[in-house]
Amino acid sequence: MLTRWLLALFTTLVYVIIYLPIGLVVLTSFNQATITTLPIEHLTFHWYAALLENVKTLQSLWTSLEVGIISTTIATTLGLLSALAIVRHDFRGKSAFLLLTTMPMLAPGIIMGVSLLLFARFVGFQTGFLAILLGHILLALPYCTFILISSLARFDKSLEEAARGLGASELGVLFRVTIPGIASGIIGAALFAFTISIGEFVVSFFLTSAGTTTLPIRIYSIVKVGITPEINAVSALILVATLVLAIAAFRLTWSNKK
Amino acid sequence: MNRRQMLVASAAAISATAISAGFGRKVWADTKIGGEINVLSWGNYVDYALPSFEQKYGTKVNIDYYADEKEAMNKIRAAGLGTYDIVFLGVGQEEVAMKQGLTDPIDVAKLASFKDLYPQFQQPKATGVFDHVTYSWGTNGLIAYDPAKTGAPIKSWKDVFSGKYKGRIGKIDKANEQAYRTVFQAGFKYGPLSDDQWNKVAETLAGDMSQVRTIYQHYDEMAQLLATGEIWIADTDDGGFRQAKAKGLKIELAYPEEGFIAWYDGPCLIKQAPHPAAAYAFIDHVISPETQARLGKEVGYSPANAKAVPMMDADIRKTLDIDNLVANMSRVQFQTDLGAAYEDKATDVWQKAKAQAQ
Amino acid sequence: MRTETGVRGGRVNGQFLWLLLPPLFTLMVLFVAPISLMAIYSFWTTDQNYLVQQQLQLTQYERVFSDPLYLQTLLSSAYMALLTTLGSLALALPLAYFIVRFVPLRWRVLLVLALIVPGWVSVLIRTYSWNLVIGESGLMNWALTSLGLIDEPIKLLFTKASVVIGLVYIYLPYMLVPIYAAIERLDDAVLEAAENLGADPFRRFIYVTLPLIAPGILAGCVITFIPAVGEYVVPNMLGGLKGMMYGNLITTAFSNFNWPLGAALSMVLLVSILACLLIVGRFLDVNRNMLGRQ
Repeated sequence: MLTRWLLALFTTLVYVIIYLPIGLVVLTSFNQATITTLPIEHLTFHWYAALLENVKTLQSLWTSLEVGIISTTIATTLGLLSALAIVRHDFRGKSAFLLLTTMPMLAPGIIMGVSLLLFARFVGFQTGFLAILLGHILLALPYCTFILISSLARFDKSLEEAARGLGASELGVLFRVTIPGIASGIIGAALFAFTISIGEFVVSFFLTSAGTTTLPIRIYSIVKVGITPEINAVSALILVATLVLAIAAFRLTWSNKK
Repeated sequence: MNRRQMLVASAAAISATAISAGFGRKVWADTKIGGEINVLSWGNYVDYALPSFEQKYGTKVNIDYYADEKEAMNKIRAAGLGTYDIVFLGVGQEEVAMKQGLTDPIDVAKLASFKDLYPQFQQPKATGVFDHVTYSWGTNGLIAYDPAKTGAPIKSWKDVFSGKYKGRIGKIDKANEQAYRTVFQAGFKYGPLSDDQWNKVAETLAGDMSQVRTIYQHYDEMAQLLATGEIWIADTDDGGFRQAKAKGLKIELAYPEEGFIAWYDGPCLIKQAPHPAAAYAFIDHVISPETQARLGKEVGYSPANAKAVPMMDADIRKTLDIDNLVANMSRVQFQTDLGAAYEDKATDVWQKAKAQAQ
Repeated sequence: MRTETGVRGGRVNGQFLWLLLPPLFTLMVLFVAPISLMAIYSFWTTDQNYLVQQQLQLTQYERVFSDPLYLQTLLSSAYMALLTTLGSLALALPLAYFIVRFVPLRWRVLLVLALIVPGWVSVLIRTYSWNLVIGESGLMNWALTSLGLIDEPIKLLFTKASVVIGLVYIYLPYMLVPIYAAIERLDDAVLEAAENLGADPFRRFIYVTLPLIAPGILAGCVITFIPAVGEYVVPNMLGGLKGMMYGNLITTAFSNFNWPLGAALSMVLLVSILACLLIVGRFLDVNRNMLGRQ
């Protein structure tokens, strides 16, 4: 009916507009000119080659990946613990705990970055890799928690009861029944956490030190120094990588669904 | 060199040896130092000189960038003393850094090339210390414009804000720069201002803002905006202009008739620098004639080392207008630190001007 | 023995503590402590040499509340955030509805993922690319001029509109996910009943669907509006002069070494956000809406 086609058209339009800047990023990564303007005159792989030699950029990419993977793992684990506590137990101060959990998600990045920096300096904690890692964990924690709360709330507890009845220990139930049962939620939480970490700029900006840079910070400093399509090349590569990862995650989730 | 100069040079070399022996190293001027050095620098400012440094001393350079002096100082504070070795500061901000306890005085006797700097740059501060060594200098408060778009040449701030170019002007997002640009435009001198004068400056700036299209954070952005035609006229310094022009932009430079100022900048020694020997080697390297001679070509700035000038290409000398610059050195006023209160007021005026333009 | 409703108040359950303490500890150390420190900073001042004076004073707050610059900027930032929220909502609602109702199950997750994936490209790059789209010599103007629809290029860049566009672009996924989740949980039976009672699609949507997904919409609005108030990087890039936000005031204060002022400005923002949340919290019953229980 009409509604359906109108909505379909609308949806297509939105997706096209969303991918327009992305498409341009990929396109301009092949542009020979240094100043990014249209129309594109010459196509070249030059910037990809230059990128491979750009040690600093590659290093920052590696750092971003490291931080991303570690922070995702820890944030997802903490989020799972939080979610289990909230869904499975009632306790005084639950609302307060929930509000506290929500805050890092809502408080603007600049407040988080500044307060963490002030705190680090106050206690003598060095900025750098560890500081950035902790910052990213904090930022991802709320998202992981809420996604997992949602998953857990929908999970059928009778499966757990059955396992318990069959003699499984609490930990056994957790690892053999619950976690596989909410696998799609865990993957979703992990994906979100990684997304946040990979793109995170503001908090990381306040917590970098000499020698430790994440990719967004590196991009920022390049953008300040001299905008070359090399950055677009990096972004295009990230895009391809994430598409691959997303598809892989998707297939993993899909095979877990009934 | 005559005999007397040779004696002085030998004495300097011997004392340098004696001093560096205290570091437990051999004469660093002609052996490897190795290790690393952590440098904070303006973007696209000293990068060209790094490979030759690394090769000469076998020291790896870790370099981080900033777009303004305050960011640099905040980076040092954030990382904590004992992290970075060198930071490039100037126009009075090096005094601020020292007041904040971030930098140490430099022992210029350890620098072989110090004596080759222009006499102006060999003077210590009023306190008697060298809080920095001048690496480069030039003029600021200038105007870059696209003559094809503006039609006529621009000569003054009066021309810029005549109303003909409304909506085609770009300003740099730096409070203290906007302060002195507007100061000149309002007919005042560079220096401390009375409350009345500040009000006039704020008024003038507010009037200007109605003709401004956008603001930018650094000269690369300015180049991009000029290239795409979003703006026709922009705030710039001499180096920013040359870098933009080197990208192929067809722009011209104007020294506003109402006035402009000079800037200077150079490496400072950060307190508790973890690699002091390498730090001194680095400073000496960037002020050496060979490195300085490349300043103009690589980044479009003028050298602070007089000995470097004969080593430069004639056309670069001409582009930088070095001879004229040097001749007028004593007449031009250098930017300096006017105090925390001045900075605060300038920031306030600029923020309010921006807020009004929303 | 742990059950959902069993343990109340003071009863300490070992297993429960294993669950609660790690995240709680993390939040205390990484969030509560730093923010508390920042609160203390907001009561200090700086001297002529930019060094912090550790005596408790109200100087910063006096300045923030007496100088109209700060609160006015906060309000205009909130306004920008509001526009962003409305814009995102206008896009997310039909989008989510379409994906849930008309897209086969196996493609739904892919479509939602497709919205999240662009988030992996640095926000700076994506924002910068908007210059290529809406700039004067950009794609949009080139297309419109080629089609003969306009004579002169539209100066969209460096306006408030471009800021909203850029922010909606970034926050759309945040708005979409809770709404999508809410629509997905809808019971078709209820909608069918409404249909059988003769309600047309529009009335069905307004009177049946909307109230049911209201919590999801509210959640989406909250996680869009509140962070958007603190945005400043993207507004700067796209809005230029018109993109000055409250976040800029904070960063400028810090870069001018006025950490106490920056802290005070941050606290004002934080308290405003908390106030918003508490107001919203009244309309939201946590247990019911988050955990799907009665």
